[in-house]
Order: sequence, then structure tokens, then C-alpha cells
Amino acid sequence: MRLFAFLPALVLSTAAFAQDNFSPAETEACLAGVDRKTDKRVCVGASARACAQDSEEATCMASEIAYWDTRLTVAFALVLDRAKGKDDDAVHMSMQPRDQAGALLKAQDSWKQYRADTCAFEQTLWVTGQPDAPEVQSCHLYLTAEQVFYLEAVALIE
Amino acid sequence: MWKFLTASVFAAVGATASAQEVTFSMDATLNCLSTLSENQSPRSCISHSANACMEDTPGGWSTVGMGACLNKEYEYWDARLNTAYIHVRDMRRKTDKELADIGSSAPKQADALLAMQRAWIAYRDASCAYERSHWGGGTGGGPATLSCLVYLTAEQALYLEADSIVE
Repeated sequence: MRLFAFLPALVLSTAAFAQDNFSPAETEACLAGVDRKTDKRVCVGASARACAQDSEEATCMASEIAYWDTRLTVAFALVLDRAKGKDDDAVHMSMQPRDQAGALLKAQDSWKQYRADTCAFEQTLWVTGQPDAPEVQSCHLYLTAEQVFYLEAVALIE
Repeated sequence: MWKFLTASVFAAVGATASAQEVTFSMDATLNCLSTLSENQSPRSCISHSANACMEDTPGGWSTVGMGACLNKEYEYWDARLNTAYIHVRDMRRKTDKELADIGSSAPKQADALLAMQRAWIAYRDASCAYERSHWGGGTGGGPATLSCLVYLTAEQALYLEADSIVE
């Protein structure tokens, strides 16, 4: 039931990219087709590459990063909601108190700092040293997508 | 500095778990990594050795056995991460010095590397504490924490070993 919460957010995020040539279709089609043995990372960036055929590469990458950021927000909200539910259940059923929501918030904050510092490190490795250097954008894209894969997997299990 | 960073709270977990004798070898994970196909994630190889250890050790699938086997693979990846980190740090310091010698004011790569690794440690600890929270106070929490540590540590070691980071 709660999985339906994904849908409006994805529709919204698709609409938000209407102003440029970006569509998440290639990435989503690729993900729909991967088998269990295949690394989902092979699909990350597929939409940005398609978009870059007739638009500026950095703009396309920024659009796909925004797409994954939206998807991350949705997955995180879903997992947080369940954690809060379980914390509340423990209170109502007089079980041992728990704070899974707190642990999740802390994990997500620390992940954001890890992403920022990892991509800042990579930024120092490239000649231009600019935050929109292709390698730096790629760092944000892949780390964000991987966190989405993680939280979406948690959401399915929980 | 790095030694202080890795002397983490998890040392206590490891010390308890490794008290049990287990049959452990890194062969399964390393063989898997050396025969990866192009579209296969290195992640799919992580903890193969710990799983083989659980199979090969009498009582290996008990909570204590799982913890001891996972701890063995964690120790391997933690040592490999240390080695990788020191190698990258030395390379980055060399580049920083070369850039400074020609009067560059570029941000220091070695400083950014240290900031990244500190952030990674905080991320690892908070993520694995969250993984543990799925188990409440249950005994599965120990192996769940160790499994999380194995995966995250292995991935960070492989990341720091990548050509684009070292060269």
C-alpha cells in the first residue's frame, strides 16, 4: 500500500524536468531490465547520456542528479515513516523503548556529510577544480543513486 | 593520525567475537573478485569468505559463530583499507608538494582526503548503528553490525584502490 506513495513523487519529478531535454526514461527502463546479478550502477547516468545528445552535458547531469535526489527524499521519507511507526508500536505495546527513527536520521545526516566530503576530495583531483567538473558531478550522481538503492531495498524489506 | 581514526568503538565487538576458533580463509571473496564479469558488482563478492567460514566451522551458523566469521573478514578489509589509505595519502601529499613548489594555491588533496575519511568513519558508524536498530536488543544485532562493517569497509577499500584515486 505504502509503495503507492512513490508514484505521485515520481510524476512530479518528471514534470520538473520538462523544461530541458532530460527524461528519466532511459535510467528507469534500464533498471526495470536488470537481473539480480547485474550491478544496478550500470543504469545510473543513462538518462543524462541520452539528454546530452542534444543538450549541454553538465545541465543533463545536474538534471539526473536532481532526479536521484528526489527519489532519495521519497525513499527516505518512506523508511523514516516506518521507523517512527515501529518506535510508536514499542511504546504502545510497552516493549523495550527504541529509537530507530533517531538512528536513521543520524545515519542519513552522516551519509550527506560523507557524500559532500567525498566529492569535495574528488574535486581536488581534477585540473579545473570546479564543482561542476564532470568527475565531480559523476561522484554526486553515483553516491546518491547508491543510497537510493539502499533505502529502497530497506523500504521493501521493512 | 590514521591509527587513531581506526581504533573505533567496534574493537570491543571484535575482541568478543574472535574468542571462538573458526575455519577462515579469504579465498572465496578474493576468487570472486578476480573473476568478476563486466556488469557484476564487486559488492556481490563481499562476505563470501565469511559465509564459507560459517559453513566450514562447526556451529558456524550460531550467533557467536557468525560474529566470529564476519569479524575475520572485517579484520581483513580493515587492514586492506588502512594500506590503501596510506598509499593514497602518500600519493596526494606528493602531488600537493609538487603543486606548492610551482606556486599553486590549489586546495590540498591530502587535507580533503583526511576530511573524506573522517566523514566516512562517522557514516560507517552511524549506518551500522542503524542496521543494528533493526534487531532491537536481539542477539542478531551483533552479526548485523559486523556484516554492515564488512560491506562498508570493503567498499571503501576498493574505492581507495581505484586507479582514478591513486594516480
